[in-house]
Amino acid sequence: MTRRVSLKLILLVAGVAAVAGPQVDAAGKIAWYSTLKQGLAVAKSSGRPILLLSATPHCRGISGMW
Amino acid sequence: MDRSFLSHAGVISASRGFVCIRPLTYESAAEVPFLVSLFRGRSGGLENTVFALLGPDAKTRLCRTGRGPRFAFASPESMASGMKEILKKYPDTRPFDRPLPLLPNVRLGLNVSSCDSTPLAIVYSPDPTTRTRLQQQLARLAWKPDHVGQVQYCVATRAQELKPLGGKAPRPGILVVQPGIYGDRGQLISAVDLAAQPDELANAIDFGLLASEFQAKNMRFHVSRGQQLGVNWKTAIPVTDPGGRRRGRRRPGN
Repeated sequence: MTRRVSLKLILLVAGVAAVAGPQVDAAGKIAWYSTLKQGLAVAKSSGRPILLLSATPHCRGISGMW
Repeated sequence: MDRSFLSHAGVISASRGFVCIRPLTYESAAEVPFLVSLFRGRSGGLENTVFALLGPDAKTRLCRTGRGPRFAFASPESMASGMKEILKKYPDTRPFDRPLPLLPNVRLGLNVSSCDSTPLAIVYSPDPTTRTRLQQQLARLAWKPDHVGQVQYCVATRAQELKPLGGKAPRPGILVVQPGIYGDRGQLISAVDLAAQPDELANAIDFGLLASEFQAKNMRFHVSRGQQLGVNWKTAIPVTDPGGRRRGRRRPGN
């Protein structure tokens, strides 16, 4: 009985993990403003320092990768 | 981009106290003078990437500026501790509402969300008042700890801007989209109409986060496959990074 419940629990967790799989690193991302106009205005009004890194959203002319 | 620095947990944690700005190089002529004032490569022109930590006035330099974090910090750990030291000089005392971070348009929204492996939420309405209201609702959600940095956002005012989504033009509202591998198209996975309540909006975004799927990309394969498929991203202004141009040039016969 206990083993059956445990098996069901494992399957349930595995199922949830499979559904949520692509979001594994969901917590770890920097939230970026994408334009100087918006970002600099927020920094000025908030008094917060700025982390700036410009980047090209293409690699060798191929989009979809930094 | 230097992912080893930007994906470091300490750097991400410290970034929450900063206003993080990632201008899209070669996508706005207006931004070039500022970026070049921070870092100019050997060629004298704007290079693909520019890195800086600045004071709120955008003039005070808080570290050595350069092409990337490696110009200023020996390791991700030292970058994280450096950022935390900077935050001590700028105590977080003034409350403020962070606006929704918006990409300039749907085209760039799809591309950047593909690069970042995140869904894209499009605020779609021809009416500016409605757009403002929806943006404010989304902003409250976007900066919550469990959503921050997880979704890209942009605005569309006309159905024509939504052509990359294919199919019949969707009704105005918030459209949550799964970007394609090359960020040149997208698939609608969740939507709410203009009258959506905040909880319905949150449900649509959460569903988008759950339903979107992203494969890890290998640069070599991504580029060679993209070339085979004829993918060719056009920048808004010419690329002036000599390395970028050289790498972008195709061999004769290809």
